Amino acid sequence: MRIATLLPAMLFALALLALPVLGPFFGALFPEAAEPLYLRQGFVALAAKHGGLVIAALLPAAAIGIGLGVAATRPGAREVRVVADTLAGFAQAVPPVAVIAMAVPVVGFGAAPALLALVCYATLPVLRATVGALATVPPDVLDAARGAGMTPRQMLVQVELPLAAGPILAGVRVAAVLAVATAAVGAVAGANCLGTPIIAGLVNGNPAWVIQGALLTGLMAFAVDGLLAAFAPVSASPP
Amino acid sequence: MIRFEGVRKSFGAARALDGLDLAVPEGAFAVLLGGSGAGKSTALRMVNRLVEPDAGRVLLRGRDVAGEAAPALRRRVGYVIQGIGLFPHWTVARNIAAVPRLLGWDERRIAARVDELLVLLRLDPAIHRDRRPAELSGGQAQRVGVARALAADPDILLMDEPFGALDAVTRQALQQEMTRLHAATGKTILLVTHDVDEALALATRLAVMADGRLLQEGTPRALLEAPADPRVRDLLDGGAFGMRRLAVVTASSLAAPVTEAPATLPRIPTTATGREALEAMLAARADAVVLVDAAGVPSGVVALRDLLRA
Ligand SMILES: Nc1ncnc2c1ncn2[C@@H]1O[C@H](COP(=O)(O)OP(=O)(O)OP(=O)(O)O)[C@@H](O)[C@H]1O
Ligand SMILES: [Mg+2]
Repeated sequence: MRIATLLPAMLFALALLALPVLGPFFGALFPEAAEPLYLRQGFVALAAKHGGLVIAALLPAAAIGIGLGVAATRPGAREVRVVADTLAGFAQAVPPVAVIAMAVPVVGFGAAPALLALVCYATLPVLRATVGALATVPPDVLDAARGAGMTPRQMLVQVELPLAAGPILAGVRVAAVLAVATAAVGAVAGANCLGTPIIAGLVNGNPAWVIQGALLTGLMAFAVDGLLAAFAPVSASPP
Repeated sequence: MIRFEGVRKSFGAARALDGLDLAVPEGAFAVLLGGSGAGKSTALRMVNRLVEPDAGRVLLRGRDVAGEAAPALRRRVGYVIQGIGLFPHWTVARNIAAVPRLLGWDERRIAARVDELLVLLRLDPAIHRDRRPAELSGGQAQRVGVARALAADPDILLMDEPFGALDAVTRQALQQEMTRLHAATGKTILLVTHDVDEALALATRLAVMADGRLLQEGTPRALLEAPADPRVRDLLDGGAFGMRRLAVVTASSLAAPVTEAPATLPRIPTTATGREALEAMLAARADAVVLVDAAGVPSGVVALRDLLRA
């Protein structure tokens, strides 16, 4: 792929490797911090857990978002559109941290409430992109497909989804970036991820840990964005 | 072959068809002519069940189309839609192969058929086969649209203003192509247009519609000679009634046998229309033209006054 799309990923990898040896640097920056480097868990392990959380949320979110988007655009699916609109309205009104807080009494502490919130929020961009992309398929193309004798299913698989693939993938990309950022909030409920140093830093009054967690979360979001951008144009125009 | 019986259709408050009765004989090149909103597209789209009638029925060879599963019906009826509607993500070849693929033809048969159709529609397979629709001119795209409709060799071809968006020269070339195709294949063609000249140039049977009803049906000549309704006359007139009548007769039907063929007279092919004969006379400032066959042998003479018999 183009080097520009890989650059953020390389930066992220570099930061993961470099941070553990930058203890003296953070010590100089924050002399009052007793432990200038977050050492309770390795950054690589935290990043892996963070990534796992994102993937575990993104796969169902993409499936639900595309599925719901397809269902909502079928003729006569008014109920599905109502559900989709409600979901969108809800997510706009309620911030992720509130969803996590509400989920804790139901699913307990740890990764589960974070996962729940992630799936909810990552579904939305995919859903919106799917509905929007399917609506842009030209009506005369649909008419031609129907007139050629395609069944509704053949129309969806052979014509509508291929033509909508580009914007849908862009929606997945937005969802992935959003998921990386939202996953950090999961640390509030005890999920192990790059948000953990941030929460620990806030609780212990250690700004160095906050910066380390925030830096890695941000770079990871950029890395994911770049990597998915490298995929998108290829899938947008299948043979 | 195609028969509409008391067909009615409303979209909400808008009445598109208000009791349409029409029979299209087997092998006809039938043209539905009418103003915007007359219900032409609605009628056409009922033949392959893209629109279902509220009342009445549409029969193909005596069988109600409602009795056949819509996808199966559509695969055996060719359809060229109003806006071409090529699949933009597929090559020209894949577009043309749409119906054969749905019918499960094997790849070799499909590839052969695609090339055959490209040649039939005068597109070089080597050049055009692997292009995307975005890389075609309007006329080429329209040809591909026609090729796609012909791909599975349907006996019936539905065409909804297929040449509407084209320049006059390309449109005329494609009209000639369609006349040739119709003569060569004997398919039953039902074509919708609101262009009178196009209708007269193509139709073997002409059906004029207004307000969701049939006003008159017959040969173009019969409608020009005896319009059954003032609206038919108005539609066919357009200030050129006489010229249009000339356009639907062949020059050879007005010709006298050749006694002498002065070299000073213009020459036109025997297949020319009366209108083309007049045009040739006006262009050459001559009062007669000589008809010549493909070999260049004179076969008749048409004089200016002969045109009055058209
Ligand atoms: N899907 C639809 N929904 C609502 N109204 C429709 C629909 N299809 C057709 N109509 C209406 O039915 C009437 C006849 O439409 P139709 O498309 O058959 O006309 P037409 O003769 O093909 O016109 P044009 O030459 O403009 O294509 C019009 O008043 C049109 O607005
Ligand atoms: Mg129409």
